[in-house]
Amino acid sequence: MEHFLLSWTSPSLLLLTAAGTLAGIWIGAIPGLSVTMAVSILVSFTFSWDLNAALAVIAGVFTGGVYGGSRSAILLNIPGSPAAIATALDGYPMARRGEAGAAIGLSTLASFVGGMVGVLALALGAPALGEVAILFAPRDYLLLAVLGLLLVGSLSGESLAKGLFAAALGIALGMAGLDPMTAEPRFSYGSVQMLGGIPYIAAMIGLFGVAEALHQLRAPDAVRATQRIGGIIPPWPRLRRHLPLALRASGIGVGIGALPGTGGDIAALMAYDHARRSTTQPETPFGEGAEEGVVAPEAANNAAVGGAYVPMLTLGIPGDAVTAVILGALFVHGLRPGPLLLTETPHLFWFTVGNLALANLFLLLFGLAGARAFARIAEVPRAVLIPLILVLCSVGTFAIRNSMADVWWMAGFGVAGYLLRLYGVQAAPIILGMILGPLMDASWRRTVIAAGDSVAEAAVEAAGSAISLVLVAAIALVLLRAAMRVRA
Amino acid sequence: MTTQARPPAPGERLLPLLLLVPAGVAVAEGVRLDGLASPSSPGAFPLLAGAVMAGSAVAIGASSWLRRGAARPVGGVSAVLPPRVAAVGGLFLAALGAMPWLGFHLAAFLLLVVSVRLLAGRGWLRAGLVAALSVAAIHVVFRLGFSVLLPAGVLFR
Repeated sequence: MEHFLLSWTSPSLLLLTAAGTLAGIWIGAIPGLSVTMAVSILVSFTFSWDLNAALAVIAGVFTGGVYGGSRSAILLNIPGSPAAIATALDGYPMARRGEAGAAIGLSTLASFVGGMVGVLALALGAPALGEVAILFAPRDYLLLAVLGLLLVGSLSGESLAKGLFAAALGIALGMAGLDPMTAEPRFSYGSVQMLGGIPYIAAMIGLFGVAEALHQLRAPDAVRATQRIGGIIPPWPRLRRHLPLALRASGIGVGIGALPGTGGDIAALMAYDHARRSTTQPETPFGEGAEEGVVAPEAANNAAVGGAYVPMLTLGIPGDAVTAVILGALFVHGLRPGPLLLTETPHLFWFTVGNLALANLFLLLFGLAGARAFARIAEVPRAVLIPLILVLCSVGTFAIRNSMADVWWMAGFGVAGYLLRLYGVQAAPIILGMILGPLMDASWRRTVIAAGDSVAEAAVEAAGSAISLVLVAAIALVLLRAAMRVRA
Repeated sequence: MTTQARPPAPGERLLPLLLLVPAGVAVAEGVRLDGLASPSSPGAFPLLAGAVMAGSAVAIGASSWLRRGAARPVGGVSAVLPPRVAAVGGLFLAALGAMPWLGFHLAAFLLLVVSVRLLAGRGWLRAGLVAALSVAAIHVVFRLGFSVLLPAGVLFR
């Protein structure tokens, strides 16, 4: 309890969580600026900070950013983040009907409910999963990482082949440097600098910051929000009517968020679909401003935040691109997220749980109190914003190791990320591959060595393990679904 | 999510060939590190990653070939690199190149002035003001607030 309340009782941590949430809402509300970009740039500044302070800001930005995306979705019909795509379907028609305030109020309250359900799921689910995770053999980590990469690869891009290519490229990039088992240089080509590997934080900032900023220049500036924002807090009977849907959608969000490789965007779309199927007689049809169409995706995408923390903290496997960035930051801070995190550093886990709950409270406060102020955010001109983001990317990258070489890595990944995205190859599998690559490599080799350097023997051993069989079945299911999509 | 929603970009048919380059590099590194000799060697996983990349590149190429003629690529080089992306991207790289000489503050200021002037199409004075305020804000927040070091220049620190 002491650690749960640490960020609530420490003035500096309280302030940092509030500032992080506010910054997250602000960034999330700007169309095109993703939470992943914000967290990527931000984490680089926190490496010299106390760990709790860094976690407080990151949790605030993550929570606020996922919620902030709904603002531009409702007011401009431009989702501020992929997680808000579903919100725009009914949020914007509500705003056009003169109910922008009600849509913002509902989205805020639904996000709060979803966020708190996510925190509860993290508090209850992570220790339980942690106990199971202790039973995991190296091959299970390998299979789990493969599952995560397949999910990201098949869901984040336009085809499984492009997703697989990106993931494998990330794995290869992640293996650059000295082999941790034999100290043999890999992909270094005689360069002393390459022996240390490719700095993945610089790669993240390049792929999510620079590449995204350059892509934003391809689109015209956002139009001015012309929606009038009226009453924000909906009457209690209306809230009570939507609460069961918000809770069900939160459950979907937690489940989807906890799956390695899936995040708030998929959770929101699935919750929207659930709302459409389960609401037989909406007051307004879906797609024309149904309140349920705002409540369900908003509850789900914020619930997915807590859900995404579960595999990250218990298994060391990121739930989505943002948690991949956070995982990278935790490594830099000297932590090894995984099954032992909860037993060796339980204070850190409970601090994170308490901090996420606090960030959700700030989300509610800022979301309702700053509804009108945030409406102006989506109109920030790209002419100022994009060059500023590029400058911040260089500041953030230089801050990692005070090295201009890292800055050039960042620029290189930025240009490559811009071009790859243009051809439908997404950045998220590359980053996940870079982070999971060394873990997969080590798990593979430990598994094979334990089986007498025989892949066939390792496969026989895996066939005798229930955990391994479940993971293999999940991988087969993902591949089968992807194949069916291709055929369709 | 897995459908080809966007129109093909110029040169999309060449993409698989370009993707085969990193795949070949990974395979070559895997072979060099005895990836074929032992599944637990340092080269095993690079070889595996390279093989997956190569297989994916072939699948992307096959899919592109099957869809040939379905939609023609839109635009030329400017569709890949529109003028304002090329200009701002070029300015960004130039500013990074100048940073070891000019230092962060001056290089960032120049990048912001020219970019804002170029993108907003308003006066130099306005762009200069926005740039100066932005650099000052970055200095206060990051250098003074977060104690983050900013690149120093040989000519200007």
